[in-house]
Amino acid sequence: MVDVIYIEKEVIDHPRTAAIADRYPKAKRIEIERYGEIFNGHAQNFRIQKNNPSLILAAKQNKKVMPTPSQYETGGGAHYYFSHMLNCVYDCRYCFLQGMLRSANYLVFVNYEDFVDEIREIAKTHQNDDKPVWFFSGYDCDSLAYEPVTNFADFFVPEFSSIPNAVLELRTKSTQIRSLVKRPAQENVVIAYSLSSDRVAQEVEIGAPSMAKRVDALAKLQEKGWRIGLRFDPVIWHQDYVNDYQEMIDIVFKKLDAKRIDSVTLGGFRLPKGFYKTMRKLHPEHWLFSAGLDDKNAMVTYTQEIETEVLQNVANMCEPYLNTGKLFTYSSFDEDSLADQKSQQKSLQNGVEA
Amino acid sequence: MILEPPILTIMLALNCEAKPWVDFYHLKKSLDRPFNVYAKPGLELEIVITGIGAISMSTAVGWVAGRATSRKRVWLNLGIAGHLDRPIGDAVRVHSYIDANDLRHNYPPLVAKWAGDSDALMSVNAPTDSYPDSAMVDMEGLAFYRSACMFSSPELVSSIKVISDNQENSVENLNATKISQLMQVHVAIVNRFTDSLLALAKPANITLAELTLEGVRRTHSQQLQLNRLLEKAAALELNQAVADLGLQQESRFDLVLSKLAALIDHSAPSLERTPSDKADAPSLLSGASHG
Repeated sequence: MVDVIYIEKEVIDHPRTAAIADRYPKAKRIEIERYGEIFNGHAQNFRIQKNNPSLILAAKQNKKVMPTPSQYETGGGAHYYFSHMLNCVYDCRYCFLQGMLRSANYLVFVNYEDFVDEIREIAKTHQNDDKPVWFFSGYDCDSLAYEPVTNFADFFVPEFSSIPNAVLELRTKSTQIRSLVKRPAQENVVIAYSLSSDRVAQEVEIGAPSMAKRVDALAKLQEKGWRIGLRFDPVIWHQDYVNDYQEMIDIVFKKLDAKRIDSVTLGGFRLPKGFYKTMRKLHPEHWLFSAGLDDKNAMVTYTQEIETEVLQNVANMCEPYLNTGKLFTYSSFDEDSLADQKSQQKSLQNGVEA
Repeated sequence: MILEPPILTIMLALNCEAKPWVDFYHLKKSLDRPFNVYAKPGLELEIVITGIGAISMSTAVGWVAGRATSRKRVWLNLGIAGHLDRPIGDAVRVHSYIDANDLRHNYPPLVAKWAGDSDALMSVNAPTDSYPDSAMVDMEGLAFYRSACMFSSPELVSSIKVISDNQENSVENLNATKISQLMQVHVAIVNRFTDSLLALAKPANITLAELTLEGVRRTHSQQLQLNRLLEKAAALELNQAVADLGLQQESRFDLVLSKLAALIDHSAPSLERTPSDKADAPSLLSGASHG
C-alpha cells in the first residue's frame, strides 16, 4: 500500500503515470518539480522510511544505461545495467541501496521508451562483437517485485525481441511472473533468481518470497521455455551454513533441469566501506554487520579465509549438478575484483542524479 | 544500555491552541523559562508554547533541544492556519513547507500514518487575509520544520494545522476560546498520529555487555572502538562470552580491544536465535494514566 505519490510535473500527463497512480486510488498525489527534492534530501533515515515508503513518479534524465563492473560476467560479451526504479519492496539486510541512497521511497522512472532508445543505441555499437551485449536490470530494484504496478517486464521484454544482439537479464526474488509466462519464451531474455535458504531469508531477506516459492517460479519459467539463472549471491556465512546451503542446493537442482540453466553465480557478502558504515548505523543490532568481516581493501567483505571457504564449499555443492562453464564465482580478493571495487562504487554513486 | 523511549514534543504558538492537550493529559506547567512548558512525570510528552512568529519558534526549538540531548525526540507542530477555501475546522497535515520569500518547497518525509488530508503550508511574517492559491498559511511552520530537523531526522518532524480562517471567515473574528474549540475536536486523531510518529522512533533493540574497566587508561578513539565492539558482540549474542573473557583483569586497553575483536571475528553467527528486530513499538500512553 502506498499512502503518498509524488509526481514530477514533467510526467504528470504521461500515460504510464496515470496507469501507475491509478493503482492507488486512495493515495494523496503531490505535484513536484524534480524528484531530487524528495529523494535526495539530507539527513533522511532509510530505516524509518522503510516503514511506509512513498512512491515517486519521475522522468530519468541524462544517462540511463551504465557499464557494469567486469566481475559481473556471466558468459556474455559487453555488460551494462539500467534501473527503471530505485529501491525495492523487499527489505534485505545486505542490500547496498540502504547504504547508497538517502531515501527508501520507491522512485519509478516512467519514461521507459527513453531507456529503450538508449539500449538500442548501445546495442548498435556492439553489432560486430562476437558475443551479445548484456543488459542487466535489478541492481537498484527487484526487476519483477513491483510488476503489477509498473508493468516493467511487460514493456521491456517485447522490446528486446527487436534487438537481436542484446540479452536482457532480469534479476529478481519475486514470484510476479505472470507477464512472462503469458507470452512465448524469448531467446534473448534471462530470468535470474537470487536464492537463499529459508533460514537465511527469514533473517536477512525481509518481505521476500520463500525459497520454495522462488524455486516454483523458476520451475514454471523453465517449463515455459525461458532461460533461467541462479544467483547464490551473497552467500551468507553462519554456523550451520554448510548443511543449510547443501539442503537448499539439493532442493533447487532436483526441481529444475540443471542442463537448461543458463548460469549459476556465487558471491560473498561485500559492500563499499561507506555503505557498510551507514548500514551498520541503521541496524546496529543485526549480526550480519558484525562477524567475520574485513575492511582492508576498498570494500568490507568477509575475511579472505572465510570467503574462500564459503564460496569453495558452495561451488563444490553446485558442481555435481552443472556442466562446466556455467558456474561463475565472484571473489572479492582476485585482481579484477579489487580494481572493480573502486570503479563499481564510483559508477553506483554516479547513477543517482543530483 | 538502557533503551530510553523517545519523547514527544508538541510545539504550539499559543496557549489557547495547546489547551485541549494540556487538559486531556492533565499536564502541569513547569517552572521552566523563558518558554511555557507543560508536562507530567511518567509521560513522555512535553508541550511548549513558543509565542508567535518564526524567530520565537526557532528559538524555542533550539532551547528545547539543548535542554536534554541524549533523548531521541519526536517533534510535532500544532496550530491554526488560514486557507483560501478549506472549511473552518479541517485538520490538515503539512506535506510541504513553502518559503514565502523564494517560494521554495521543503518536503517532509510522510512516513507516520495520518488519517486526514494534507496540503502545502506557506509561512509568512505577519497575519494576512491574502491567501495563497493552493496552500495553507501560517507564521511558524517553516521555521519549526527547519529548526527541528537540526536535531531529529525529518521523518520524526511533522505539522498538523487546523483551518481557522478563509476568505469567507476573517482571521479578525478569532479569539482564544474559538481557537481552543477548533483544536479540541482533533485531540483523538492527533493522538493516534503521535502514536504512529513515536513508533517510528523506537530505539534499536540492543543490550550491551556490562564491562567495568575503571582505571584502565584509554584514548577517546579507543573508547569508541570499545563501544563498536560491544555493539557487535551484542548483535552476535556474545554478551556472556564477553563476560567470560575476564577483561576486567586487563591492565592495558589495547589488549582489551584485541581480545574482544578476536572473539567477534571468530564467532560465526547462529541463526538459532530470536531476531532482535522485533521490539514492541513504544506508545505515548504506555505506563501512564491520563484519566
